[in-house]
Amino acid sequence: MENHDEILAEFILEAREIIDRLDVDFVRLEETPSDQALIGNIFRGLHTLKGSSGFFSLKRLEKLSHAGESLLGKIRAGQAELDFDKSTRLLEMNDILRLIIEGIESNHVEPAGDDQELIAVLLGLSQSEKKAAPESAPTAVMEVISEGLVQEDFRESTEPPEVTLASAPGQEVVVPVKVNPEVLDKLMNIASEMVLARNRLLPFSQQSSDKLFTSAVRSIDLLTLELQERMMKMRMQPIFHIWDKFPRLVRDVSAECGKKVRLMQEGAETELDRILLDSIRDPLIHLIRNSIDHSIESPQVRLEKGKSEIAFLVLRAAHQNGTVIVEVIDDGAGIDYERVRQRAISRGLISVEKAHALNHKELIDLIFLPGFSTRDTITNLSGRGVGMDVVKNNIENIGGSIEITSVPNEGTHVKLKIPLTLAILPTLFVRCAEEIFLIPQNRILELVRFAPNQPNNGIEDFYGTPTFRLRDKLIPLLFLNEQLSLPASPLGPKQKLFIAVLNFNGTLFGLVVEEVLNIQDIVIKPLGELLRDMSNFAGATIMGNGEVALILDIDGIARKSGLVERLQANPIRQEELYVAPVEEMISVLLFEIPGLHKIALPLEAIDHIIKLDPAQIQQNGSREVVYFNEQLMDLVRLDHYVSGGSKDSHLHQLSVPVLTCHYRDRLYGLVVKQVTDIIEVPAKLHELSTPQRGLNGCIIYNDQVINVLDLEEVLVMHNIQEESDGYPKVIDLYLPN
Amino acid sequence: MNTNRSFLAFQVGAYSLGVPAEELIEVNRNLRCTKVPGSPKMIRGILNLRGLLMPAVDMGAYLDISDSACESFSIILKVQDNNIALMVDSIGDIMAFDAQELVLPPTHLSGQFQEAIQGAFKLPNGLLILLDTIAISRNAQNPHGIVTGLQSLPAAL
Repeated sequence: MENHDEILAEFILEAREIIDRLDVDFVRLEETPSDQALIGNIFRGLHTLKGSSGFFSLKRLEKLSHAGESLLGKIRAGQAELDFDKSTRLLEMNDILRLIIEGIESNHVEPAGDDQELIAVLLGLSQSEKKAAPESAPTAVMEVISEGLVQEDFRESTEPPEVTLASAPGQEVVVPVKVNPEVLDKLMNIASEMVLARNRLLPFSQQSSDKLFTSAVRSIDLLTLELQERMMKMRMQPIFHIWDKFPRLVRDVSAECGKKVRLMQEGAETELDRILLDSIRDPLIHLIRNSIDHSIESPQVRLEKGKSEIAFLVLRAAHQNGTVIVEVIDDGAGIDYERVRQRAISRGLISVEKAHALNHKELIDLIFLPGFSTRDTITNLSGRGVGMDVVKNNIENIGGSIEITSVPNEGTHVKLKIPLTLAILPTLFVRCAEEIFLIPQNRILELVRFAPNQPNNGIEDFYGTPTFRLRDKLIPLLFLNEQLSLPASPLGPKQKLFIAVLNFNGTLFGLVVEEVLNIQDIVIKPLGELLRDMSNFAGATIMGNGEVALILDIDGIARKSGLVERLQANPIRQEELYVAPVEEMISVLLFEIPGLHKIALPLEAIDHIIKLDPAQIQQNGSREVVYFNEQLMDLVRLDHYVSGGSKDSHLHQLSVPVLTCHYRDRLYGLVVKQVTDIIEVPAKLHELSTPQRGLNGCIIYNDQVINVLDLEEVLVMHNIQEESDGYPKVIDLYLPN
Repeated sequence: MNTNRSFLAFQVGAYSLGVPAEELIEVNRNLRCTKVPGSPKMIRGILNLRGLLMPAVDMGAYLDISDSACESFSIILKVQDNNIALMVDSIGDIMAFDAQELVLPPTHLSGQFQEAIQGAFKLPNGLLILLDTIAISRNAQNPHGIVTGLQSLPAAL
């Protein structure tokens, strides 16, 4: 009995292959009805099915495939021609065959069902050419069956020669071995473990002087590498495994929509990971349906537009830079941008003014919003609004991306970028609170360094959410240690942290980590049952040293943090800010020194502006000092320390303007020529490409260059000068306190 | 009828504990495990044993035994197709007992003990407490879903 089960399982597998093959072949035959080789293929397929089902005494299967075979026999003999009606019936038969096989697989018995009607139609069709009657009466059916059987016996005798002709002599056909995917996965797992074990072994061989040992290790090294590569290859499957189903799909959908479509497939041999293959099947089906239902016009409209009656739908796959590009291209009407605009307005997704300001690319982005549909009525195929957002999510979940371009009346072009494999993922290693975590690299838009304990760190508070200003965009921040409830490490005043800018469903946010280590390809280990409650982690990997590192679930963290809700309550218009950046303004005191006219100091750096009689200036060694406010004040002649100053040593004026300020608890008086103004200027400092002595940089204000004094540098230079003759070449500003 | 079964004995704090020997895969020393932020105290982290990832359960924390460190030894078990590692203080012998000699635990045990313990065998100088490995495995796989006593009943009742 067990033996029987095994054979039956094999039969089911074989039957499925045949039925899948038939789907493709019928559609192809419809396009090229005179292809004798193709008819022969289909015929043989059905014949095998019929023969095997006879062996297992699966009556329903046998009768149905026999009816189909009879019709094909007629077509092969040239007594009948395959037309639309016939191929529809044959495809219908194929669907029932598939149902029967599925029934057998689950219950080990043929599912009950009455196929008499279809059999009658099929047999009727095979008779119709001779009898010139389109539908034969059911009474004729039984006769025909027996007639068919007689013909069958005759045909069976003619079968063998054809088969031998098909395979060229001398060419031995190697039958592919079918392997259970689980076994493959397990092997894959062991292979990656092997790589890690080898990694641990390598350091020993480098230390060892034993020649035999090192050469053994070397061969293990090479073999492991090869093993890994081969394992990777085993996971790959050509994309035609899923494309196979599409000719049938296109045929059915276009028939339903009343459209004429020719499907063309390019690059069907392109290989990708079989898990990925599974996950792009549904998105592709959706895209194909969309193209036929929305973009491609009906034959009449096409003719009116001067296009060919039959529309083209191209599926193209190719490898490109370590990714697989899958394209769905049609030559239909394309996306109706106006309609998308109107829909978006009527659904309240966007304001009227804003909608009219959107360009085509931005309108396409609207299509990806959940629940968006341009259809008024729900059809069998589309209009339910569960559409492109799901497609986009599915593609993004496997680390891919989707891009749509559409030209009105020329068609739509959808481009999917899919990674080659899921098993290996490039990730960024980051450190947070002494622990190492991994961020999938494809989620990271950019990395930014910032010093949180510095003033001007770019961090602003936005309704309680810390945000970072990145090129005039506001990015909300999440601190990884807070999200994971890890203790924060104490930060030095100048220590810098990293922000990984990530995308969560179209919202940019920054994840703050302490350190960025490196980018490395890793093998993902699912956490599975283990810790399935932890939404912070998407998986784990085993690092080279055998330790486990956790992969962060970016979406999970973003969702759990409540960031999205907070943003919805107080939306940050990331794009709007991009258009109209808010500039930070500061107040500066504008003054002149001999030789330089426009010099500025932030107002907050200055205590007082005083007028000093030169007679008050006294000497303390080489220093000029003034007794001011019961304190000794150092006078600093700015023109001595600033590039461009003219070093005018004589103070001609009756009274000299002096700016007083404090630096490290000492009072200084900055001697200037004239104080001109207090102005508001943008805080953005243009750094100088060759640093100018005594200047921090400059500010552009009303097209004028205003030099900003580097007070610290000037005062440090002033203090050093006291002790030495000339200026040192390099001035280290970070003097110990 | 021979009802003898073997158990691996080990120590956590002052307690002698045992797990069924047929579930034992190996005993390891000083396996490094990775902490999982946000996990309960009883989960020491995840460790890697030749490519298999498994949760490491701090038995001291799980059984609420305060005088234990549970640092150096890990007992790797396979319980109903799930691997778990028990971090314990020291490893004892494999002992055989007649399963019929198992003394069932008193019903008034509190908290984790209620669910954690299957019973005890008498030793010449004390007791060997037999742990319910299935419960440990279940709790380790699903650390937030630990329910004890009446709380395990659905809210609808």
